[in-house]
Amino acid sequence: MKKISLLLLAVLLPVLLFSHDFSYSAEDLCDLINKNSAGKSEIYYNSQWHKGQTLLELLPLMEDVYRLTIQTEENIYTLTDDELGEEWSESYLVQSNRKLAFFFKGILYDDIKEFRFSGTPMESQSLEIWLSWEGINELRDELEVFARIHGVEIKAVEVPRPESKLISVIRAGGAVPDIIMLQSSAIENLVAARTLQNLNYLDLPDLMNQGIEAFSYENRLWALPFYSDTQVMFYNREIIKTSINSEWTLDDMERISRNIGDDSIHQLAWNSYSSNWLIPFEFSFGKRELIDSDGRISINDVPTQKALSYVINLQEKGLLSSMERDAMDALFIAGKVAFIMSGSYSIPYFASLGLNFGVLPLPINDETDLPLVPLLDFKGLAITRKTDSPILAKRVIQFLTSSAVQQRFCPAMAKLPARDGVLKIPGISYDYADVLDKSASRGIVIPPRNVYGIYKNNMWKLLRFALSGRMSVRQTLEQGQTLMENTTDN
Amino acid sequence: MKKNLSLILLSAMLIAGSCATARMDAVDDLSSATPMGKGWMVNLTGVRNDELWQSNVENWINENPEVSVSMELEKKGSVNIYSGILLKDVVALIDDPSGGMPAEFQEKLWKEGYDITLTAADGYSGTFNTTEADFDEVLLVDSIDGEAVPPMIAGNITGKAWVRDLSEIELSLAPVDLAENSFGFILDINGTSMTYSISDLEKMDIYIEDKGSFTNSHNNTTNSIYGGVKLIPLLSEFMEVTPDTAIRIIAMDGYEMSYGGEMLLDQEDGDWILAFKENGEYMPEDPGYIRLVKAGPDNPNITGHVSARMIKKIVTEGQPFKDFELTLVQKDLTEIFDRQTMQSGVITNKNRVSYYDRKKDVNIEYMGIALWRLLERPTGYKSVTLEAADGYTITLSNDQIEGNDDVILAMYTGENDELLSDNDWPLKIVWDKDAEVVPEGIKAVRNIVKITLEY
Repeated sequence: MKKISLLLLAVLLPVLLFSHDFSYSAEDLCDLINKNSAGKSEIYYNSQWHKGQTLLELLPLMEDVYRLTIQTEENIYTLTDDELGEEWSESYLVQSNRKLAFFFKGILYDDIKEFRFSGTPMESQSLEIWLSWEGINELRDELEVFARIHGVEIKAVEVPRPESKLISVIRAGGAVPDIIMLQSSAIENLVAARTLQNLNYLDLPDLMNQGIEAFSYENRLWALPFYSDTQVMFYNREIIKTSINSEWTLDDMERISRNIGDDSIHQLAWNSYSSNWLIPFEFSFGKRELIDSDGRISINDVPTQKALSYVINLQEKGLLSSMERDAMDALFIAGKVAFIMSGSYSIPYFASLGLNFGVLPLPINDETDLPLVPLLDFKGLAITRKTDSPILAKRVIQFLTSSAVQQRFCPAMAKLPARDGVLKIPGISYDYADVLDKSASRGIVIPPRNVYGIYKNNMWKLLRFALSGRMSVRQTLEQGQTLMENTTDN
Repeated sequence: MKKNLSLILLSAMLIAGSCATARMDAVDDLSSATPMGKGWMVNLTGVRNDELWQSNVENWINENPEVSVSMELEKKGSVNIYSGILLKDVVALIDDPSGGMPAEFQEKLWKEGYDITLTAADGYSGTFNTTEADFDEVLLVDSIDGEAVPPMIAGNITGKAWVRDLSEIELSLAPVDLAENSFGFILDINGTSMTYSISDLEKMDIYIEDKGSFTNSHNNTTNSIYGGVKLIPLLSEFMEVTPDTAIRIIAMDGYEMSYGGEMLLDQEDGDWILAFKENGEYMPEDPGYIRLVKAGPDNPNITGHVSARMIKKIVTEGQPFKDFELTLVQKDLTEIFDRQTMQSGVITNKNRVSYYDRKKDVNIEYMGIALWRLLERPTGYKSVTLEAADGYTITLSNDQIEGNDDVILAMYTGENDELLSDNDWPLKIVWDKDAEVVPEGIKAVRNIVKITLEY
């Protein structure tokens, strides 16, 4: 058997030079910091917070960095690692008192004199990203800054239902975006259609475990969580004038509602036709898993029976008005509803209207001492499988999920940051951040599975029958279970 | 430009992966669920699907050294010698819409431009257009500076395409308009033929889409969402399918497989379907346009070798399905092969002999698998004992059957490759009248049910 080493060198190319060396003095870096249009963000070291900027926001965009030399006043440190560039979005330069500090992989390099690195500059010069949900303009602003700093073109397109459009485009053989913003419930379909690349190759920053769970399917991560919305209770401060403790209970909720004493006011309102608003009650009555280990959803169980009975009972007592979101919002804005359960995405909207409202975590169930468990609706950023700019796409995702962007975007949109710890940063915290934080700690994620969509559709029909009294709780749940079995079997 | 290397690759694959043994992992090699090689494997998707194994490339280079290419390239500050084969030689396996063999690299298509998506085992995926690269300067690398490495792409090409630990190469050349193509699926029920286009089938109310999977003997499982028509309701429109029904499936390349009604009526975990969509897309010619799979919400799993692909025709002839078992004994290991397993191996090899029947003074044509190919994988045995159903045995020396394609275990006979008569059923050892080596002690033993290797 011939050895490859003996084989003919059929082609001998001239040496190709991909790599470049970069060198910056402290003055150069300070200039970059002062001229940079990206906002500064908070970085914690030496027991205090500092304002800095990431290397990804300051230095040329790199495909990879494999050597980094840091010269300080006292020493020269040389780091060699093929993956150094993956840390660019997590590494900060901080300028203070005419000195420059560099925080890299948990180590502080003080009094920087020179900064040299070797790597491959970014080849791709353009990228398309599909955006949806709230905060499009704010995201575009961030992306524009990134594009301007690095001289790349980023086309940010608003696509109302990005997941279904991506599948359509791929089936039609059209041009796909490089990055798509998506929600967790779309993952199974998108994976089955082979539209996404799994992101297991990325070094993950400090992301919330729930965010990782939301986009993990078949032991692979398909998107990086960007932010989440959660379910909270809004109340009209013009109607509810008493102070409410965030550890309030369902009994408190009923008592306060009964004491309103104005027949023209709906005491409580939410879209109880949607299973999304039944699930929190189910968990407060002891349900442990939304999807069983066999991949099915149980409907006809004791926690669900108790949950549905409780909601119907609230309605029969005249405390709860079941209504869909648009009607509920309209009445709340008009001052005709005292409490509504809604998504945290409504906070900026209500605030923009100048409403005098308060926000509470969902209450605790007195019977079980368990809180109503809110759903966490994560939005994430995925890279398409057929992107022609995979490395640029990776850098953009690293930028958007960096602590720096999270510190700017999430407060502006009242979103729960996907990064751990962002809400704890002094000066970053915003109205109701503590409510969101508490809700996040109690919450469960919307699973990345198709069966969840089936469950929602089936329950949407059945809950109307239950709430209108045309079916008993038992009949509703038995029918729901049968429907689930039949639908998933088919 | 027809390429010799493609011929060599094909022959290497046939030699290495042909039905040289009755083990499941060899005989079901016509199913893409089954490994056809050793070492690393890269999935290939283009106008047809294929797999490229490390052993394929090694055989290829070993037989044809000129396909080996090396380049001196710089990456991350260091200059190394990257060696392997040109990517275009791999692309050639899946870029020819005409599906001609040997594969021919479609240089014109490359120059006109299409996308190649390269996916790494860790999930990284990058796409480049062929117009961005010279096809003579892109390598599928299997060694760097003489040290073996997992497959990677390198060369005078964009950095995003330098994909390490490569797991898939996908061309954007998948056949288009498959639903409207001229392919016709033939249903031949007891002599009456009906032809359906893919779109005819898709419009039927027995069309379903659901999960299905198959697992090869190396425990590699392929999961997909399949779309196709339920087989039993389709057949039931024209005939009664009973446990005794025999159904013959004939593929576009002539491959045949027989199925019993009993197996097809077992739909407890899902429906047998004639699938022509996989994960929402029409299947290309291979493994499509039509493939037999089982689908259902419980993600039914079947063994790879029963999943016939490239189905052109289904024939029922009113004859009951007769199964059989061939027992292979080697030391402490006993393996049993059913009719489908043997059939898939026989059809893969199609060794033919013209046997001279001395009593009748006629030449009789037989088709089957060369005995040595059936026994290729076991090694170190000195002789082979073949045993008939009535206990009659003959013993042949391995020296005289090794590499001897003139001695076959026949399953079919006659010009039309009909199954052996009841008299000879199920298998018969025969040899060619002009065989260079006729093993000592050989006789045309019929009704063979057992083979024992003597060490």
